[in-house]
Amino acid sequence: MAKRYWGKTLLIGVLLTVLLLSLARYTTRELPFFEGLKSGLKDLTYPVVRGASYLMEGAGNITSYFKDINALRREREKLVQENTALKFELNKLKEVEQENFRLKAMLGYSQENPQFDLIVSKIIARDPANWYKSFTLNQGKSSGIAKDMPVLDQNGLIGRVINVASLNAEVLMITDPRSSVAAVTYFSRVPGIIKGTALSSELIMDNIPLNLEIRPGEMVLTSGQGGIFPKGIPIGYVVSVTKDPSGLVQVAKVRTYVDFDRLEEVFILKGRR
Amino acid sequence: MSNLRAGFYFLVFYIFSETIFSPLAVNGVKPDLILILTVILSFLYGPPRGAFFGMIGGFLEDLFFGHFIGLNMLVKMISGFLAGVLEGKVYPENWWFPGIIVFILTFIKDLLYIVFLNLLGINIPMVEAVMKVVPIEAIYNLFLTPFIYYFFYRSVRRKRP
Repeated sequence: MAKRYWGKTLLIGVLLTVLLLSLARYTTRELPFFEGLKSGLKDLTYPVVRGASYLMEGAGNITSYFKDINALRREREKLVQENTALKFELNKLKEVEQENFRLKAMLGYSQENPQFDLIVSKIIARDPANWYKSFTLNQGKSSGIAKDMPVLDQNGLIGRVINVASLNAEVLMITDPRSSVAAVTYFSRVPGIIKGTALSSELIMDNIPLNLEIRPGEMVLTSGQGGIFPKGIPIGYVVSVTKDPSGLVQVAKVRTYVDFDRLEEVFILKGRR
Repeated sequence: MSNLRAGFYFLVFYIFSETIFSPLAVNGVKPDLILILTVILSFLYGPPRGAFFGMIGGFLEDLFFGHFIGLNMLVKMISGFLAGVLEGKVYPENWWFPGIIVFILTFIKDLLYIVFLNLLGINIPMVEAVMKVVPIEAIYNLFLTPFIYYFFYRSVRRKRP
């Protein structure tokens, strides 16, 4: 009797495994039905999620209220110093920019100077799974957010919008293993593809030709290829470079400028003004 | 426990994990509340219902954030079944025991999940994941389980004479 029970259980188990794996394989493609269902569910649970996130925020504010006042004073002094240095730097850059305009005008060179519209949005929920890196924002279609819009903060690139509901939107971070971004190094202009590894703050820069030299510490930026991310957004810096196991290309480990675990607010690049 | 009620608990646990527990990540690693709930319910209700509860929890995860509908369902179903096998074999008064099952099942669930993801073309470095992520998640789950188990054990005991 017990043998029959286990035999039946095993058969059902195998059948369900094959069925569910086939379903998973089928849904690797973007299917409008599931996208719509997901957006609907997210809109439906939005008030509860927003409320829970509001509570968490409140709890965070209480703890930060009791933060050591001396630490805040030290931080303020450091910020004032940094601010002064940055103002000086900014003035210098403004002069360079003016010079650049003058020289371009002299050469008759016209180039569009893109000005982007930014939407500030708050993170209200994160994907609870450790193998995916995505989060939900408190704004959606009603605020003008659309699929594939780039998301960043003051330190650099965060990801892109992958699913939009009317009140919220889901963002795929560049650390997610499903993400890939066309990138280039700042000094040596070495191109490559940035891929996520699902391990926080570590990215892989793949497909680097063997004949090109790439040095640790070099800055990595978006290259603008692929049409989703504009050119020149900082991503991170090279930590190490190794040969790919195939021996045909090089692979670099890249550490991000953005601290993905502490993100609270982000900017969505809405488009050119 | 009715399936509808279990579904409601899974939904609440899912919302908790994406809002309350996500900011409380340790080294970027979050606990798996859906696994904890699956194991607890399976431990109290046995393998067939455990597998079914796992499917409900996994389906919710797949619908809300997953991109491969069925993957979480499959992994949680297996976890639920394995945990359910222990029903009636260990005294449910042992409040620490579900924590141990959750600890072990976290390794099994994550290994299965990474293997399935790699089969579907999503490459996650196995060694790094097992070294850096899975042990932290397992310990996090281990410490959370007794508190959640206590709540469910009490409510089940109240109903069963």
